[in-house]
Amino acid sequence: MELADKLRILTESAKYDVACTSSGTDRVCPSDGIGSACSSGLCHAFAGDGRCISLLKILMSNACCYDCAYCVNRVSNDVPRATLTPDEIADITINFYRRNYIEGLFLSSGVIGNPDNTMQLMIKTVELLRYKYKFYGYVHAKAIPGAKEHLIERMGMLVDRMSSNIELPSSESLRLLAPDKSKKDVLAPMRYISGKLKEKTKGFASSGQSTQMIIGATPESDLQIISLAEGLYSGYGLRRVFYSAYVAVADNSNLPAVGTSPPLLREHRLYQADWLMRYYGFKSYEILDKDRPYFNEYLDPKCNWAVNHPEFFPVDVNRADYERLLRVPGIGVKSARRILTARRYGRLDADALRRLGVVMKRAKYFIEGGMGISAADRPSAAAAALSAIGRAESAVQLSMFDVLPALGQTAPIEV
Amino acid sequence: MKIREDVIYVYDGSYNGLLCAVFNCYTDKFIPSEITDRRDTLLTCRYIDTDKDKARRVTRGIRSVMGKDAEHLIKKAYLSDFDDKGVAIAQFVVLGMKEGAKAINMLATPCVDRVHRMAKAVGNETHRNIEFIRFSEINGALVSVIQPTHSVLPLIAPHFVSRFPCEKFFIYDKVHKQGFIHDGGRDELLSIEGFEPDAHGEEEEKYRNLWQVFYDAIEIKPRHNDRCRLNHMPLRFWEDFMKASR
Repeated sequence: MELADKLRILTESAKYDVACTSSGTDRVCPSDGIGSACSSGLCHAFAGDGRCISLLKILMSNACCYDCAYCVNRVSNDVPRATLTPDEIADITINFYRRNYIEGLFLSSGVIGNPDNTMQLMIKTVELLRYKYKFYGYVHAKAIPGAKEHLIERMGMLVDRMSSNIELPSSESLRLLAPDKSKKDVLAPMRYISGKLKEKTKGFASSGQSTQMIIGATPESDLQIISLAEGLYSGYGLRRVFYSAYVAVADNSNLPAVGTSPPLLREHRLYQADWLMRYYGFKSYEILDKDRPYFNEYLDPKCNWAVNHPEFFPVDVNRADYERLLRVPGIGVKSARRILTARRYGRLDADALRRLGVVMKRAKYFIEGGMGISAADRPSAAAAALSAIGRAESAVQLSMFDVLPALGQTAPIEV
Repeated sequence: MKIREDVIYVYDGSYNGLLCAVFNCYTDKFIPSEITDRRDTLLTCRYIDTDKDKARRVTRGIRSVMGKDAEHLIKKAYLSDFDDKGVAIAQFVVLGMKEGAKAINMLATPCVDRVHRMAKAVGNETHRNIEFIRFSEINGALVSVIQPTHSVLPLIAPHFVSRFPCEKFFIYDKVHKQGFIHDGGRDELLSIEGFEPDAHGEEEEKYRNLWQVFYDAIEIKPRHNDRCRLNHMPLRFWEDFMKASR
């Protein structure tokens, strides 16, 4: 098989693993090598689906011996199979890197025979890159569930980031759809890597670890998903949890029918909630609760919280602390920091706030001195306006007299 | 300091030249309506000579009174292509001489905000160029021709030196007619009127094709989103061989 065909097959097999960042590590290239790393990460292109391309993302082989129902590479699926050699992978990586197409390599693989054998082949590839080609750029490698700890450790010493995908947000779903991978198999490498990172072993996975959950393949609620993510961040110290809207590629009575649209808005809301938990100090139970375990279609999670907690507002932007400022819709991390800096030199009015990057269209309902709306009118005026903004942005035509949306919904958003 | 609408300062386009124009604002006790390096104007022009000593005095003043961060900000804003960069920088320096190190944080003041925004635009363009420019291997060296909206070549060059110190490479800025060459121990930023790279060979063609295969395959087709792609990656950065996949 031609190299181009193998690359095409193995790229198409890898594309549903949405982890794509090259961030987390700063590294200057030693004088004898090639490759540096930039902690903000660099996106060298954007694909037709709008997603960033920062790494050469491929499987080493898609000749997998497992049969996970949701996966295009499952052994029972009739797709062309290919395998790239360590030399072929290293050669493409270096030459793409020299031309500034990529920041490095993202290497995953189907299970070739058994997890240990697979890890050993992947380790050989990365060793080739690091030692023969003297490559100091970014490498992200998967920890194959079920592999022995010493192999995971060896890989960790060679790469910047590792990941082990949970894929399905509950053990019941895993049992039903991925019979070869138990919850223990999936979490064990994560736990091991987390332990090694806590020891702060020098040179071990300097960009930490991440994981991925498939959204919409199985019936878990949004609350279950964000609670799980919150637990993973606090329990395993993950850098990122990725949410990948399920693309229906498999014909299985336990999965949505082939051709079902991927739940993109739901995935978007999950990323918004994820950001709230990581940067805005929100807890999962503030974003959703047992009575309303699904996201609001029209209001993003932060606006939703604000509209349902009128007792917290209005906020005085000239005196409130950072955590309070972050709760105001229209004030993000950057504008909150700018407010703290700028207000040392004078009182900030609406014009100044606008210049600092505050989105007054939203914030005016929640800050003191905003647009002369009386305290009693605030919650309903805010809800109506934000809902209108939300509807306009999702381009849905609704009657002016619709009932205001409540905290969340009892059914998942359908897109 | 007041602004005189009817006068324009014209300098030679260099950083020291701009500092001399700022120096003149102090001696003349006003800020002109424009500080530019273009000479095609009907308004009263005052031509500013570049004097290294004057420039040094202004630099020392900026460093000691406003702080090193302010100098860094001004240098970055200077690299931009905005027409009003001269006036905004002059106003910022005047303010800074009065207010000192806190001037840089007075974000609600228009000229401070403007200088920050210009520097930010330069920073953004730098970041985009670091991300999107492509090299071709031609006669053993890596070559790239770029068309940035601001003069970012001095800012992107160190990144690529750090990225592949052992490679021979050359980046040519078509718009600002500057080139950067890295060859063994030699790092040089040069003024170059024009540059046309030689044709590339088979090896180069092979890797370009492999990239195209990878690029097309990585897309999740049910999520195709042209608008999202264009938002992140402006059309002006799409190389010829990527346009085919539009």
